Amino acid sequence: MVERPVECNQCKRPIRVMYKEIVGDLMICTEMCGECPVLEQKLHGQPLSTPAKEGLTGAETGLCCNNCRTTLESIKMGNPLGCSECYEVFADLLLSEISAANALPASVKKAIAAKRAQPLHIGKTPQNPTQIPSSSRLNALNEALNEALKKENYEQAAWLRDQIKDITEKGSS
Amino acid sequence: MKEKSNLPPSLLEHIPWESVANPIWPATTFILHRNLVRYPFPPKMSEANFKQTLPILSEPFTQLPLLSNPTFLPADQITTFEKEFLYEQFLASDSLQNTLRGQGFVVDDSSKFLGLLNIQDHLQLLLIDTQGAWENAWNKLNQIETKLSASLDFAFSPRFGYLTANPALSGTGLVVQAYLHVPAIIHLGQLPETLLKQGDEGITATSLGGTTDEVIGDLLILQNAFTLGVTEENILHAIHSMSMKLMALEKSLRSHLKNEENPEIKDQVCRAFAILLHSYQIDAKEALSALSLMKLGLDLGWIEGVTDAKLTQLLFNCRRAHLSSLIQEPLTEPHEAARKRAEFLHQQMHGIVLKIEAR
Repeated sequence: MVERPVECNQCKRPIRVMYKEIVGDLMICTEMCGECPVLEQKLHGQPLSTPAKEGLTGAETGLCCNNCRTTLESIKMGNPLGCSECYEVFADLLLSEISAANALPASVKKAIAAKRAQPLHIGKTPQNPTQIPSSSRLNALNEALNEALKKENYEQAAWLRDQIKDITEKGSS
Repeated sequence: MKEKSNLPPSLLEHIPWESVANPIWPATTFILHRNLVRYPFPPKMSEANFKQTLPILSEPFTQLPLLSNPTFLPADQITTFEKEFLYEQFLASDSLQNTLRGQGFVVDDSSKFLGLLNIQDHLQLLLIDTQGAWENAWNKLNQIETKLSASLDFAFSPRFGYLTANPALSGTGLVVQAYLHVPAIIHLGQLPETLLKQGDEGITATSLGGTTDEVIGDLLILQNAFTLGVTEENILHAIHSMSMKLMALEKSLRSHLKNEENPEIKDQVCRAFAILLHSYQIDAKEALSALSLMKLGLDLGWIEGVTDAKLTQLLFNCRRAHLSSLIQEPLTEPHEAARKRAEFLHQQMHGIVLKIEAR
């Protein structure tokens, strides 16, 4: 909602450089941090992920996706994955990166640490589309109500009870 | 804008928040990330890949009965201003201004759906709900994805779920953002404690500025922290439950403010009124903060002559691209935008009365 992003478009560090390109009647602004590889690409015209460049890093680290040439080093730097096969090639690293980014529930982290065979993905699958039941809203409200009562926040509990009553009445009419 | 817009007229005429159902919870966005199995992900695509995939991705939308009159907009055929309009309209997280040839957007007449093509992932399906009917909104988005999957082969693995360029979004590939307008919690200094006490490991709080240190327009954004290891229902339940707790707290604090004298908050509302009425130029951040306090003042009975719906509309419409569209003038220079925004807000303040009197 601010009129200019405050972070690098690529890595979310504070902006140091604003790069403007005029292509025909179109002006393209890219905001970047000082260390941005995109800046190097813009200034020297070298693509970010040329096989030669990636190959060099890949040789250094030894692990590289054969399909898209994404390297282990590149993933460790937080760069995006290149293709579906990267998930097979870098499976273990990805899990530790996702876990380090606090993007896994504690229960899943514990299961991984204990080397328990727990499925990671438990949501929708291509074979099994899901629907959210209409009772889901009531469940969330009831949970909030119980918590408010437990903390003796009676004013909040009263408001939540009104919300539940509204939904229940609408549902039965 | 004086020049003819490349965006469909319905998008310019119907803004999602013109009929917001809940003043404290004005909007929720649902975003599904998907990739095609046979192509590299967009960060690794060649120019030929972009050219090849764009028609493959855009074509199935034209045959979707779930969308009303879907329109495909190639990124190189709309202006940077129009991209900013889309960014504002759909409360997108990342700027769309750098999108180029081989990337594109799909919108429809509902003004609530945005498809992002070849940006970060091959597909990002975004639906915005302003009616509080979040189960319906999610189920509609889910149906859109299911229909698309009949003609597009999405990258999926049983272990990691739907595969995304950012591995932290794999699994469900679903990001839900609830926008909560909570000025009482923020101005009474209760936000850090509330987030600590009510915190849920599955939810992160942020704001339009990307941090909770400064919550622009007092709009707090709750977002799911996990997409892997949880179901879609888990995500929606956690967001809804946390939103209801914060709404109950906000209501309770407002009720205290009504009954107890609080000179600091009264002063802030008076100053916000004066800023909106008398500024010569005003940037978007300052305008949002002032409008937020006006909404609070209205609810507390300190302001009259306006509805909450109108203030909510102003809150979202005073951003540059929407303002530019409303006044039909291109606002390229920041100072010009700030001056025109002040002028626009002066007009909108007509008939609004401050009921607080200095003693």
